[in-house]
Amino acid sequence: MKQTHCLQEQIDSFLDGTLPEESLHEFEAHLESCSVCETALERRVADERFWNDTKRFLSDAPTEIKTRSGNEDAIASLQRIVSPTDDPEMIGRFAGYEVRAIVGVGGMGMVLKALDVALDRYVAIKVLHPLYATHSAARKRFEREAQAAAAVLHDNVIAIYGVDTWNGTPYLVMPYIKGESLQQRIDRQAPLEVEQTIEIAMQIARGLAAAHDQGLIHRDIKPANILMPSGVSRVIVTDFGLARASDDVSLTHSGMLAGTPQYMSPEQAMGLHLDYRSDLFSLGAVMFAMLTGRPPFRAESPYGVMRKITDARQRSVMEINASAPHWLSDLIDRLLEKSPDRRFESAHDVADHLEDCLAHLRQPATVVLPKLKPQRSKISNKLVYSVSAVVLLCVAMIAALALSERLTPTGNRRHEIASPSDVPVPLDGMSLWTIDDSALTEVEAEIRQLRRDLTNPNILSTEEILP
Amino acid sequence: MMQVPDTRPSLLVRIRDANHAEAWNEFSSLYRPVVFALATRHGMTSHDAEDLTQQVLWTVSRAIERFDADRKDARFRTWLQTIARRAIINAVTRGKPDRATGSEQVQAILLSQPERTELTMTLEWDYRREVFQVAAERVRNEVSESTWQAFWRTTVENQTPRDAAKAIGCRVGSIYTSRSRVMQRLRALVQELDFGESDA
Repeated sequence: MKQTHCLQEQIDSFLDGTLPEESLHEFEAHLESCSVCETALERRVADERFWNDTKRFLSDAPTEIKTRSGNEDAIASLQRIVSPTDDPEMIGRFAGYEVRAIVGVGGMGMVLKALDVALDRYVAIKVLHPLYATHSAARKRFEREAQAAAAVLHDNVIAIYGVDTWNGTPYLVMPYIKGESLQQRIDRQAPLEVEQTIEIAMQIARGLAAAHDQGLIHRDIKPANILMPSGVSRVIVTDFGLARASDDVSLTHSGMLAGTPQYMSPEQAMGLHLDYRSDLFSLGAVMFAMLTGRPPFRAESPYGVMRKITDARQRSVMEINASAPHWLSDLIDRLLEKSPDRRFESAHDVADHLEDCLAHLRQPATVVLPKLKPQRSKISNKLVYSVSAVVLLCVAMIAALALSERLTPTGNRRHEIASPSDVPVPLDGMSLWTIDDSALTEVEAEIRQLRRDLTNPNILSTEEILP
Repeated sequence: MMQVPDTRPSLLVRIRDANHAEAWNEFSSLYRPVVFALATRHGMTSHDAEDLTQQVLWTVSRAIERFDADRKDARFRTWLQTIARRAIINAVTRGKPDRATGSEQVQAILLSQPERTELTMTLEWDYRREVFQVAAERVRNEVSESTWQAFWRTTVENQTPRDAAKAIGCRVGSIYTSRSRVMQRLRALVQELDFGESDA
């Protein structure tokens, strides 16, 4: 050993990463022979309590932590799962398929382009990343995606040819679609034409409606998950990786929402219960992006985006893109309502409405523009009923009052009371849905005034009512 | 080379500025699996645990805004860790995530100080354990196999550095440097989520 004296600076530079590679060897040799420096190094990285906690807390860690292999790049991990092939054009063989290329690598898996030799057609194979193949939650989620998408048979939803496991690695086989994603289209062409936007949105809505009919909520509608096969005008909704059956209680998505939440609905951002109408919000955001080139809510961080999604109102599309008609802008605003109750009722409704819009655009002379249905009131159901109860009560009192006044021979009343016919009083709960907020606010103001008046002895005393 | 945690501003401090996308991503990617694991460990279905995780994360992110910006960074860090710990303990104690209740109300409940019961004390303990495990899993994927093994065998499995070196096929000195690197990174990650002190 050349050097035996202790060098505090070496510990420092080792820990801050500035120790040159050639000195590392020397440093390690020194640690072997010098317990003082070895102990000093240990203490520098953590105190005794931390070392003890580490041992204690990791002793009962799941085996994954102990055995999972480190980072691997996609090619390396692919090489581990595919077997050699004779064809120099091919990367390798996977199950019965000749793998030609890696199309994409995502958080939990990768997509391969492969030739189905038996049927002589190209397919896309989605393979669960080998890193996760032993992870039961990830496996389950992967299988669920396959089942979910396979259950929906629709032109606008990606088909699933098959689901299987090969050498312990789960995979699913889908049609290989040559074309681009809607995200790529937007990046390349935005803003899209109004007619094209509606056509695409209508097809997404049809695909969503089919999924919803099967009890599935997609939960991750965004331009990157919409495929546009080249040469045809068909649009295909893909990636049911986050889809969840509305009654599902067994699925794990521990990694969800880790990405950019730009197309997420407010209820999703807050982790509240969500239903099909969450997908409608996302569809609205996608339409917004088609017409303006960017999502409705933008911020530097995902947190900032979530905040805007739940708190801020989007700019209207027509402000950004002058060629967007106001009715389309209104339609998008309707889909982007914070409260699901104020959006469309279903994906079917959206699709039908968009189809009518399209018909109008193509034949403006013969087809009238469809009108948006009146919206549900912003106030809650419960409040509506209690307000209507108060209204009815007031009406009864006013009527009684008016009647009694009419019976009074000398009208010495000091206060004008609105006659019942001046107030747009709904007579049953359902008709309340058709009145708009301003009318309701007026009613509420009237009621408050009336109640004050009725209870204020200075204005209306019993002597004045009863002669 | 490994990043040196002490030379960069604290992750939690940078989160406060909503413009620091990277900081928020890092915090939530660490914190999310901790909440999820804790919730499932305490009997929640994974579906409920997932919703709850989003609720808790949302609540914590909103609470950041309310922090008085004039306070010192170190206090901010402790404060946020307290908020995060409270939120998860309250959430898990309450069971199924809230459905119909308004988000404001949910937030208020999650941010209140948990009662000190046997359950919440168990949860404090479990929280710290989940933090360690999540951090360990992260480090595990950042370092080479032999570096990890040097740490794991000698620190968790009680092997002597000499035995570990023989099994891995490296010199004893590398065992010391490797496990120090792992510990250094582990401690930095654990400190991002948990200061090690409870509310008491």
